[in-house]
Amino acid sequence: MSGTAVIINSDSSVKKRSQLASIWRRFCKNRLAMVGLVIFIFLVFMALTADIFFDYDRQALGQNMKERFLGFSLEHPFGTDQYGRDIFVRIVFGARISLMVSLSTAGIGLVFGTVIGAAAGYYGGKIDNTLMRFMDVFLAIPSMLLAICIVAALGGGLLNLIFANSISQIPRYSRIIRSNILTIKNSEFVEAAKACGAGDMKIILRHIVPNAMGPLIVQATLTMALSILSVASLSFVGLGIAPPTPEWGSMLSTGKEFIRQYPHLIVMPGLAIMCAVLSFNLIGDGLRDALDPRLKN
Amino acid sequence: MFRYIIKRLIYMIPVVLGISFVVYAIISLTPGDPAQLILGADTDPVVLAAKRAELGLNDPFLIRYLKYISGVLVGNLGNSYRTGLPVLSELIIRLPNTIIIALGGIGLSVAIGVPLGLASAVKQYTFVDYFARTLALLLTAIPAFWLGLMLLLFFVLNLKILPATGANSWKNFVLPIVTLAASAAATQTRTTRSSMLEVIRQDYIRTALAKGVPESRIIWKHVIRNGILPVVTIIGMNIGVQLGGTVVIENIFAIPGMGSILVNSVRIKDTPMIVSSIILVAVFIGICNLLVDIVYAYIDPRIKAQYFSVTSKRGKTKTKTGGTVA
Amino acid sequence: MKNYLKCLLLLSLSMLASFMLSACSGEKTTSTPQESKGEDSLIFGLIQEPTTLDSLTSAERITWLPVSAIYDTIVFKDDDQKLLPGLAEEWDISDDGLTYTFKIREGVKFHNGETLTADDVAFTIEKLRVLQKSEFGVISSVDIIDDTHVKITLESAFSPMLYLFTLPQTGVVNKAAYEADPESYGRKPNGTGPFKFSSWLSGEDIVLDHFEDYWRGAAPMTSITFRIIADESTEIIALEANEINAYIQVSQSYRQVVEGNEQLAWYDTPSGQVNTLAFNNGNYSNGEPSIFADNKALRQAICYAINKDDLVIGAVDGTSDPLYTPYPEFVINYPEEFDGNVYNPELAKEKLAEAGYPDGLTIKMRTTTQANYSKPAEVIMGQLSEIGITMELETMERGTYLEEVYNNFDYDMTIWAVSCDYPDVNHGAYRRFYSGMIAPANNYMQINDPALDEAILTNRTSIDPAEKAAAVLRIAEIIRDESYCLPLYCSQQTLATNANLKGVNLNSGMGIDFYRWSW
Repeated sequence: MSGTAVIINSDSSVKKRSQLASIWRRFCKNRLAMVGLVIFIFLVFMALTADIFFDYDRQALGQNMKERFLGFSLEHPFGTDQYGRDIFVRIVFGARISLMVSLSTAGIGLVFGTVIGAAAGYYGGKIDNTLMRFMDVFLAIPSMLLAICIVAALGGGLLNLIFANSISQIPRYSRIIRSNILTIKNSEFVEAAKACGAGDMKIILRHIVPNAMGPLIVQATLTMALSILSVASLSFVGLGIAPPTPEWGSMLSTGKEFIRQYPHLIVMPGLAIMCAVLSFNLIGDGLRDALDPRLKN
Repeated sequence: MFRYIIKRLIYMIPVVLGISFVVYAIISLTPGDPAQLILGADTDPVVLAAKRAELGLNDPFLIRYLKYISGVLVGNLGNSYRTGLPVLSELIIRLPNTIIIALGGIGLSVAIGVPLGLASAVKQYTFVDYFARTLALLLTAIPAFWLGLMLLLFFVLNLKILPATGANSWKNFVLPIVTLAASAAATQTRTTRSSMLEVIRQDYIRTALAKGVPESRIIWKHVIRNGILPVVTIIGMNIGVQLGGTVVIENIFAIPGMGSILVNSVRIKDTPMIVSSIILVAVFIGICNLLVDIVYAYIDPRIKAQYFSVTSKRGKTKTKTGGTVA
Repeated sequence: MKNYLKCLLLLSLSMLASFMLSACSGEKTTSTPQESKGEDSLIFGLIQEPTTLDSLTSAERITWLPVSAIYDTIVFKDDDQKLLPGLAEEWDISDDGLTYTFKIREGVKFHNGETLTADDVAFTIEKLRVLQKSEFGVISSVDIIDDTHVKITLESAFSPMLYLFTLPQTGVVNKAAYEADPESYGRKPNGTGPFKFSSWLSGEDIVLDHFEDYWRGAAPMTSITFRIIADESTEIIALEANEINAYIQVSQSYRQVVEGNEQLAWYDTPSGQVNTLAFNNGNYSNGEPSIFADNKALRQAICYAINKDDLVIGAVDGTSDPLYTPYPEFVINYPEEFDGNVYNPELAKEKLAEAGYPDGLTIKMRTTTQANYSKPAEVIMGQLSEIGITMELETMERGTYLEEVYNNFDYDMTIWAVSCDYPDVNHGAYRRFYSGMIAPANNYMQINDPALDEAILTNRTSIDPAEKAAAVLRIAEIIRDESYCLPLYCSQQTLATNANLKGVNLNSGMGIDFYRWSW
């Protein structure tokens, strides 16, 4: 078999624990992946503690016309924007939104994709056919185009964006799970489990899903990176999160008209986006390498 | 092989129908009156009502969809709500621009990404490797529109060697293609690198090295040939992403393509235009994927065997010789 | 062994081939722009593609630019808003103000060669009565007296009548062509104006050539190309690179760029669009009252909480002055010494308590994503928070906004523009403040005030100047005292052009006279 690596795992929890440990060890040895992890933890920290250090209404949304377009200073590390708002504070709160959107998108994709893919792969036959055709429909439309249609029809805002982004991601997860299932569906230990009287649900949850976890998580990090870029692009064409919410993409979109005189308005959110996307990609790469059993040496 | 192609083409039909229904539903069942959006907010209600009747908007949703889709099946993509002109004639003009950008972007990204990824894999842990990986990582993280805007500012205003708008000479397409190719090249580099690395680690490569086969021959004869498969897959999967990315790029560089007309049509709920554009894009992607799969078959004889044989059970096929291939 | 190489080669070759083929064929199917460096053609950038070039159905403002070049109106207007003869050489108004008789100019040709007659003018006015009823419904009948005379009879005296005939959307159409095929008139327009329609490449260019047989003499510009560029960052770059020679509605943030560049010129003028904070003074579509209905104190509280000086800085970079009257300053009888509601946060808090919300409240504002409405909304949000009102800003897609707010009145507060495209308060006041106009897309603020109605009607029908002036003042006073809405500022219309262009003019209501432009 060529293609994806599948770790065939029997029901031994001891083996599982030591496997997780070795995966973690391999991950830690990868310096780039650690950098990604550090950035990610930092972003999460920013998102969780934003309210403690800063006052959302006053600093992220409150306007101060006398302090517009200020440059870098101690008081305003990233300067101020066209309404006098501190850009650093807005970026910190923006992290909350970006993380929320990307985690939700990945989460929804994961859950729904797993359910659909598992059902399709396990039950096979007609169920498999219909479900997969349904997935193909959404896979055939480029995600950006689908997102544009959905957002334009339903309006912008956080929930609609998450919905629009996750719909196009679900098929990818379902494919991963399904191929995993197809590979081991007919293997002996599954037959043995069935012979012992284990129900379908149990087999799926206990054996199949954990095996597919690796590629699924890798896909999740990719989804998170993609969704941040996607939201930013949508805001750019005017269909994303609308101001005054301090979302990075919308900050880019509104700041773009000042690009000549005050480039720091878009450079800083742009860098923030880059860092976040970079960290997700690094973690994803690291995980993929760590999960590959052939790298054991 | 021929049968396989036909099967694939036929199988595209329900998918396309599904897409058209989903998109038509999304546009039609959400608030917003196309007549008012097209003619203007302050248009007289009498005029609006006449326009709505003219566009057939008073019919229930299913009737409208059936009318539309029955037209599509005979090749009539409907008339744009905005201009009243046939959708097909408008899209025919715009589709080539988008295809040029998308294919050019893919072509450039392959031309840069594959050799770079290969070099990175072969010369692992050297300067080339680190340079390529860093560049790839950075490029995947830059939002396309940011890059496009920077390139626009630099090449058009500062250097004054390229035009900003329009679509009539090859010069107009340089910046859009480069912008699109940037992050795609990054993905290609990384995929090629990891795929080639996997091949390099195989035992038979080690055997060949031990046998004394010159390294360049190993690379050409074994590494590339075996490692190219996942790369081809990624190219195929990327086509959809690239086509989506052209929306923003067409917006920045003012190129009249599918992306820009989609954004404009979506704003005024020009349903025939929206659904037809997406159908065309989906068909194009489907054909590209089919081409990729055919290329696949020529590269990997095992897959070729699958296509040429009768498929008996899902996941298991009988080859012409009677044995089973998983 | 060569297979993989072949495949890669094939793929890249086919891509290259399709690229080159399309690029070559592209040159044949698209029009080549005339890079005007001294040539007598003009390339004008448009941020949005017009939906039609039929003057009578052109409700979108951006459409008025090509429309004003293609058609002539019955009456012309100069840069000081004075009326001049247009397609009508002269006119006669009866003493009671109810009858207007126009003498149509002879020898005027349409682009298709036909001659302008009273028939075409009468047909146009009849169409206006139906298609633009809110303005032209006042005309009760149109009569053709002879080949060169048209008479219109009004239901009641209407002093701004002649101004209405200067608007681009009243451009005179050719009766025969219009009746033969009204649908395609919008794509193949036919007028008497200085420029005739040449081609329209969807999504790209609209090309107009100058009309040799124009009755005032052929225009200095040989052609105008309207190029559609959707993104403003690209538009300004195209202007700087001289790929386009002008564009309108330039963001204030680019003013420095334009004024600092010797090769570019900046023009601006009040646009006649009064950005207004609108309250829903009536019920929602389900019959429930909005929080502002019958709560004058609450409306006043908000009005006093707005600092207009800060607002104009934040919303439009200080390029407009705060406005205290619900109409722009260029209307006739503008009350020069008007005292509007000034920023007074203490009074605002008092009024808030009086309204029944001593501890503040949360109000929702709905607006569209368009920058000229969402920006002031953002600023207002910050200002209201200072007196304890939490404002939730809901930005909606235009389609949804029009349906829910503009048509169904499902909102509490919004920001929209009250337009005044000709120098009489009637244009905005009648449509937006008159109780008889409470209907979708008209009086969406649901203002119903008999005293206000009386003032509006007096201004509309009176022929006594002193009476009119008093009515104009009264309108501003009532709006101020009752706080049905709060005028914010009159937005500026801005134009950036190549500095070598001569004869450039810019008036309110997209008023550009391309006939005078030259290099």
